[in-house]
Amino acid sequence: MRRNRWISLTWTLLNEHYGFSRKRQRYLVERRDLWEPILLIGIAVAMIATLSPLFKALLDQMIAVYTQMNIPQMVYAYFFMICSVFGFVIGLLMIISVFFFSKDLPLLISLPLKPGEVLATKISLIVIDQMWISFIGLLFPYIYLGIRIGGGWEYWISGFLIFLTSQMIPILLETIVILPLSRIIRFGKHRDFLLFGVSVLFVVGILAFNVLITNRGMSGELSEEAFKQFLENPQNLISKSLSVYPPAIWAYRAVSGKGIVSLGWLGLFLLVTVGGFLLTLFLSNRFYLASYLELQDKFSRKSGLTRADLDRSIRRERSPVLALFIREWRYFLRIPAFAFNGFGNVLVFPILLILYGSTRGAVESQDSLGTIIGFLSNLKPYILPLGTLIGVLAGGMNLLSSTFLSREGGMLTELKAIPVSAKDIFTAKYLHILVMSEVGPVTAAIALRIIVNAPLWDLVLAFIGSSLCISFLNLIQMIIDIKRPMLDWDNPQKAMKQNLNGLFSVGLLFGFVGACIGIGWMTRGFMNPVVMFLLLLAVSVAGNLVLFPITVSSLDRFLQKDL
Amino acid sequence: MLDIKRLTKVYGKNFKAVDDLSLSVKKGEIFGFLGPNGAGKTTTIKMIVGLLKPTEGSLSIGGKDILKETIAAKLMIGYVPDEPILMEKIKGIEYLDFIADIYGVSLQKRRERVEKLSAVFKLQNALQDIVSGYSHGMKQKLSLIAALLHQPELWILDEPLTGLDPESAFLLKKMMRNHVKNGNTVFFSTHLMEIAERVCDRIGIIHKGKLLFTGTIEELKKTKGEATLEQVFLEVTGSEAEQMDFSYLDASE
Repeated sequence: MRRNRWISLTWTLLNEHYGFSRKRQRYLVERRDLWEPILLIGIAVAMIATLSPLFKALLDQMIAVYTQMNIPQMVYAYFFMICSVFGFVIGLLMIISVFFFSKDLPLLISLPLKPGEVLATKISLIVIDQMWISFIGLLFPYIYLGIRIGGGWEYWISGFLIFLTSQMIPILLETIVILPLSRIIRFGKHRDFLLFGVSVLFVVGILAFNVLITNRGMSGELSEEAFKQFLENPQNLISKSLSVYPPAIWAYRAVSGKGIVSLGWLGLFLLVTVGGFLLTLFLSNRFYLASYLELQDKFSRKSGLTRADLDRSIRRERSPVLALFIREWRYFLRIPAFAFNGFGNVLVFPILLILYGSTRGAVESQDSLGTIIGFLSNLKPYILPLGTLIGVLAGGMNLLSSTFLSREGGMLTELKAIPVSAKDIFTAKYLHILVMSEVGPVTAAIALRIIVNAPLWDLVLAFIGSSLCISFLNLIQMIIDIKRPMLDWDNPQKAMKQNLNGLFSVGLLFGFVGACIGIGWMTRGFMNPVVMFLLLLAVSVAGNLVLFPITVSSLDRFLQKDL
Repeated sequence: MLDIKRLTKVYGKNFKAVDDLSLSVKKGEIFGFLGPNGAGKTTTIKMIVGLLKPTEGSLSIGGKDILKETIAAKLMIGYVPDEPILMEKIKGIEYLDFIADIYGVSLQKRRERVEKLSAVFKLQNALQDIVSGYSHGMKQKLSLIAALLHQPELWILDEPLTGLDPESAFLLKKMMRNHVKNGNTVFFSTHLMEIAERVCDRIGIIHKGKLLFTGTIEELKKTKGEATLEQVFLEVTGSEAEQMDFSYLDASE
């Protein structure tokens, strides 16, 4: 592809994706909604201010440990690996959405571009989009470590280039898996769901297999002597810790090596990245267009409509609220990005707890979840308030309430045009979100039963408490989305995962849970856990009572506004 | 049936998309709303159906103010937008069932009307399929059926004939005539002069947000002599289309 054409295409897509022109117009020309960037900067500053000391303390500890073993650069490799794994997990749904379900694809496909050119631009877009992971997780450790250990030119150059390309390999790896896979999944009318489902299973399978293979031999079968011997040679630790993701080993060698050795490993790293990119282009030209076009193959079955069909399809009269409620479920379940994100968000945390809890041996292990579970066992007397908060964490991260209007996109016009009140719309949407959110507390209660053998009644009460708190938090998140809905998305994934309202709501959730835990910790000496629970209940009931009418009236005002 | 008084819509700080527009459409008439692109037709229609909020003025449908008695007013309308707004991931029949629920159409009635209307527009074969597989014309037909399902007194149709095949366009025109014969009302926008001439009882011409003319085609022609309706339209809207030179389009470099 000619360079200027690639730049023009990438820039146009980036502009459209991030809305640069629109934001410039809104913030600089029209000078409206200026509170948005100010709020964002405020949140960023607050997060940096509060998290930096913790992050620095963690880094100091890690640097001290690895310096003792004479491998301080492991800190860089460790954070590089974490960022890559995050990129791997978060990038998957994004890749499928951007490659196959983006609204700009009909235009791009109609242009005289090769499929590889379209995908190369799309991959650039995804990689740039994913760079926030490396910005948060790798940039600070890279700079801090470099200063602490007095890194040479090899460290700074290799570290910087690896940082810049850190999100490439995960995205390319997934693309290389998904493209051929998209040719295999070509059956049935629900091929969009199948593409999402099989890809998720495949990538999760690879990750699980890799983790399993890496953990074999580390599962407590080593004697104390053997373990000591293992630790005496740092190379063992490097290969064992990083073998789950080999590019992390190359990254380590590049930032720790000297002269030509460092350049050699850096070269290998970049070569694999470029090779992966070329392979992706090759696969794109081979598979992509056919898969994309097949996804567009929607046609009438010409089956006709008999009286029996009509009787079967139109069975009962429903109230507007029930009709809207069913519409909500259909809309949610039939858009793969919504369904996968929605269920994923409320299931991931409790399922992890259940999995770890069911292997009770993990309690003694040193990994973080094992530590949490061990910690929980000690806090059994506090199961009522703590169980409530765990349920809140599990169900509150649903991202459905903070995107309840955003997910409508252009369909919001339909809601405005039909004769239904804001209260009816609110009721249908609120109930749908509540039902989905309840999956979190239910699975969290099961997890707590398995892990700490909590009494059934405590769990039932904790479930009720969680539900009330979640409802309260859901209402706040709904108000946030009413204030700034993101309606002009070009693919559904964007409405949920790239919606800043989600970030605000996660901050709100952790803030709420953190504040409750903090207050509980400070008052633990003189306050009974039952009283703590009742206070929590009182706060959430009051919050619900106050926010219900506010949310409905805000929605009503919003629906009266021009879109 | 439809009363619009001093309706104004300002976008941004000072762009008047609709400027002090007043008109009323009586029961039992087909009113054609004409104007070039960007004249303010769709903005006016969106205000009538409650999708946009007027900056000034008032709008009432069957005596119900769209801003104050929104739901009661909307229940009287059957609205077909210029671009179909449909849920793409559900079946056509599911969409119609949803709309029937919202408008409170009885089970018997909705079955009857879905059967008949889908037969009229030849959409029976597609109703069991997911909407995203429909062509533009099919989506337009589904949107039309949905709008007519609850027997609205007032049809508001924004460019309803765009995308329809000739047979469906003919049938729709016939249905419009039939609808007003029973004492109902049709308000529709169009670019097609020929349609306006053949179907409308009265027309309104809007240009740059201002209503330049309301009356019958005959009244319009009387003011402009022997010219065709197309020529009259171009003259009223101040178009320079007739004088334009397009020779540069095919000129060799």
